[in-house]
Order: sequence, then C-alpha cells, then structure tokens
Amino acid sequence: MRKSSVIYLLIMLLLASFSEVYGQGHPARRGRNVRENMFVLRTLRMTQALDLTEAQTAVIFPELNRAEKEKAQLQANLAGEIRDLRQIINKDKVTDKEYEERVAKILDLRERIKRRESEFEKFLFTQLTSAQKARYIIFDIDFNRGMMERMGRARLAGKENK
Amino acid sequence: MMKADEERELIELARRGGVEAFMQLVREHEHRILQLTYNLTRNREDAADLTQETFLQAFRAIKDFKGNSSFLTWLHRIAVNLSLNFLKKHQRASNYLEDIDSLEEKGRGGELVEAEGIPSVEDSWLSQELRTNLEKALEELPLAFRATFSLVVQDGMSHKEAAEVLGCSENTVSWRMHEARKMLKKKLQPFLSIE
Amino acid sequence: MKCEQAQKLISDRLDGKLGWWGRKRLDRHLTACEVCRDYLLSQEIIQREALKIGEAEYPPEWWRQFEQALKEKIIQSTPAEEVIGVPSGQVEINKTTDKKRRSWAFKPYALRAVSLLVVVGGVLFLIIYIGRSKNEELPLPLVLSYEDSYFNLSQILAEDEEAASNLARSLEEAILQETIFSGSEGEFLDIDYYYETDNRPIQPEDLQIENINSEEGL
Repeated sequence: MRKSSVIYLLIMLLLASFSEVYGQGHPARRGRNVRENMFVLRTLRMTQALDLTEAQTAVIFPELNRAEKEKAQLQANLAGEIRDLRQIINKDKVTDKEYEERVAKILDLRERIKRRESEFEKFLFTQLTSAQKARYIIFDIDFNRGMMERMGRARLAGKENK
Repeated sequence: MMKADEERELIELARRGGVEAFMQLVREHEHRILQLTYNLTRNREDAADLTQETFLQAFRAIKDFKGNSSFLTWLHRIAVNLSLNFLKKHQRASNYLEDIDSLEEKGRGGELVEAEGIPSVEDSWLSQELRTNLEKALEELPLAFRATFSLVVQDGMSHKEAAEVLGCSENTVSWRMHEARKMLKKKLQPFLSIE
Repeated sequence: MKCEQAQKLISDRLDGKLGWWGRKRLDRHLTACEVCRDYLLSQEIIQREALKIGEAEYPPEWWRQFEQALKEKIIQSTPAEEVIGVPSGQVEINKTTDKKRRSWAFKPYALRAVSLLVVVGGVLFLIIYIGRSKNEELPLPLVLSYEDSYFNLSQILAEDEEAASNLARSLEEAILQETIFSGSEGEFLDIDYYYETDNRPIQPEDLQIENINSEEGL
C-alpha cells in the first residue's frame, strides 16, 4: 500500500476521534465538511511537500490533531460570535457595554486561534530539518493561495449553474 | 519567425525609444494579436482598435518589460486585459449576425477576405447552424472562460502559456476549460444530436 | 471512474495535457461508458468548429495602413526626446536618451514614492476587503496564516451555500487524487476498486452537509 494511502487512513482514524468537534450540535450529520477536508488535504500535501519520515509523522501527527481539534472549535465559536454580532449590529437597545463585550470576545478568540497556530508551528519546527522548515514556509503560502483559488472556482461554478 | 536573440535586441532598442525596432516587433506579432482580439470581440473594427491600443500600451510600457515571460505572452496579456475591459464596458450583444452580413458582402466583392467562415454550398446546413450557434454560445460564456477558451483552443496555447497570460494557475486554466466545454455542450446539444 | 472525472480528463486530452496514465484510465472508462463516448464526440465536434470560426484574413494593404497609423500614433503620443529612429524633419533624433539629463531629475524618485504608496494602499485594501469581494475573480491572499485564510474563506462561504457544497466536493476529489490517482506508474489503484472496499461509499447528500454547518462556521 502506498505511503500516502497509509497516511490518509491514519488521518481518517484520528479524525474519527474528533467527530464531536466537527459534528457539534448536529447528531444527524454524515460525511466531512470543508474544514475537515481542508485539514486532510493540507496534511497529505504537507507530508509530501516536507517529505516527512515515518518517525516524524509519528511525533507530529498527534500534536497536529490536537491543535486542529482546538482550532476548529475556536473557529466555530468565532463564526458563531460574528454571526450574532451581525444580527445585533446597529439595532436599537444594544448598549455600548454589550458591544464592548462582544468585540472583546471576538478579539480574544482571534488571539487564541493565532496563539494556538503559533504554538503548533513552534513545535513543528522542533521536529524539522532546516530544509524542511524552508519547504514548510513555501508550502504554507502556496496552499493558502491554492485554497482561495479553489474557493473562487467553487463560487463561479455556483453562479454559472444558476 | 524571429529568433530569440534578434527579438531581445529589438526589445532593447525599443526600450530606448526605437520606433522602427518596435515596429519590427509589431510586424512579427500583429497577426496573432489581431486574431485574439477578434476571437474575443467578434467585431472587426473593435478588434483592430484593440490591437492598435495593445501595441500602443506595449510601447509605453516596454521599459517595464523584464523578460520574465516571452514578449508574445506579455503582448497577449495586454490584449486580453484590454479586450475583457472593453467587453465589460460595452456589454456587447452577439455580433454574429453582423459578421454573417459582412460575409455575404464578401461574395459581392467586399474588401475583406474571410477564410473558412464563408458559408458555402459545400457546408451542410447542419454544420452551419452549429457554427452560428457556437459563435453565439462562445460570446455568452463568462469573460474569464471565454478568454481561456479562446487562448487555448483558438490561439493554440498550452495550459501553462494561457496561465501565464491570464495570471492564474495551470489548474485554474484546466478547470475553466472543462467548465467552458460543459457550458458549450449544454447550449449546443440540439445541434450536436443531429450531426 | 465517475463520468464527471472522465469528462474532465476528456477536456485535458483535447488540450494535449493528459499523460500516459490518464489516457489509459480514460480509454478504459470509454470502452464501458457510452455517455462519455458521446461526450467526447460532441467535444471533438465543438473543438473542430471553434477552430474554423473567427479565422479572419486581412489583405496586405490593410496591414500597411494599420502599421502606418500605429507608427504615427506612437510618435504623436510619445515625448520627442524619448523617440529615436524616426526620419529627421518629423522629430529630433536622440540616440542616447539615457545620457540626457532631464531638468526634472527628481521625477523618477517621485514616481517611485507614488508607486510605493499605491502598492501599500492596494495591499491594505486586499487585506481589509478580501472577505467581502463579490467579484468573479477573488483577490489572492498575501502571506496570510492558514487560520486567517480559513477564517476569510468561511465568512464568504457562510453566505454562499452552493459554493460551500462545491468546495467540499472539490476538496474530496483533490483528496482522492492525492491518495489514489497520483504516484508513479505501476502504483495505480483503480478508483472503483477503492470505493468497493470502503465501508460506505460517499453519497451525494453527504456533500449537502455545508447547508447545516454554515451557521456554525465551517
């Protein structure tokens, strides 16, 4: 069996243990959502881009999944807070205090996401060679760009089908 | 066809203001650029204007041409941008009827010569119907898809070359071609099923 | 192989982009799928007809006039001191423009400063408005972190369920490509075989999950 297939199955097994995060509040949910798919694809591509050894994946993957679990939860909370903020913004009977509280919550969540991401990257870099660190930087930029392009295509495809 | 080093020399001269050097570059590439603008606009006058504007802009901007891509690719990029901006502004409806009229003029000694687009008695009616509707369908494609299709199919570019011109990735070009083909097939289905 | 995938391969093949393995896989699918054989035939017809339309030829005299008009416009629109190689009587010849001192020597620096301001302004514009653009071509992110990119993406997709569904499907396909389709020759795994050995094949309604999740963040 090929290395990428092994890694794929490993990721799926680990993902299965985090189903309570991705499926939060929706017990009838099946399949994977965008966040999950992005995580799987990013992990697969990162493994290839950095040419990680099995020993490295054995150490990195558990921490990667822990970080993903926390960040996914934080992102879901952040999206919820922003959705709520959109609904109340500029409405009457919303006090300054309430605005301040909501804004503080959102900023705090953003900060925590950034911090967790940074923590994981610091850990990751303790496991990589210098060349792998350099490849990670390029991979990160290319992946983010590719994801925005992919989203652009997904939006266009939606418009064209109308 | 001009050699690469000959072209480089001419570009260098043109950079320093050499009009004659630039005109040699124009003569080398004008046919392809005009074909591109015509494929996109489907109107002779507009195509000629846009081609002229492409070369004007190229002369003004040639000092900034760094040679990271080929000169032709750079010209293509200017031509595509100008054409798409033009189309967006004018929201031109299908011109294929105008072109059909001008083609009929041809047979009576009109000044321009059309290559294989002249409806002849040898063309089957079905094939002509398909071609007429294909022109219309191409014009109705969203601009990004239209530009991509034109560059790849009508201009014969590879996905990589088209990606350079359009400033996107090869994957995006590949995806756009697939989507454009699906859209064209959907629109042309009635004419394809009776071929 | 699903027909949607085969039809994508057909498109790549028509553009000369399909490699050996892709051709083998496509041929195998085509021997068994009449729908895709018809699709290939239709696309070949469209391709052939597209090449025929729009081939315009202009007579030599037209080109002479075009070049003359272009040359005149270039000369008229360009400052005299920047033009060389034009017969005297029309414009003064200056063969060494780069040696000539301009009285407004500071201008290049001013231009550079303005360009820098424009670039910085453009960067800030992209960063601030990246999630709100409704244009067809989204501006590409600069060096954003993965989580920043994801956040922008999720905000856009929260308002566009169809795009979210399309994106989820696209990512699924990309994952399959990574694990099944890519790789060196001789290591090819048949996608149909893979699905048969999976516990549960992916159903189309699975990809509708984005409608449910969009409010909670993606």
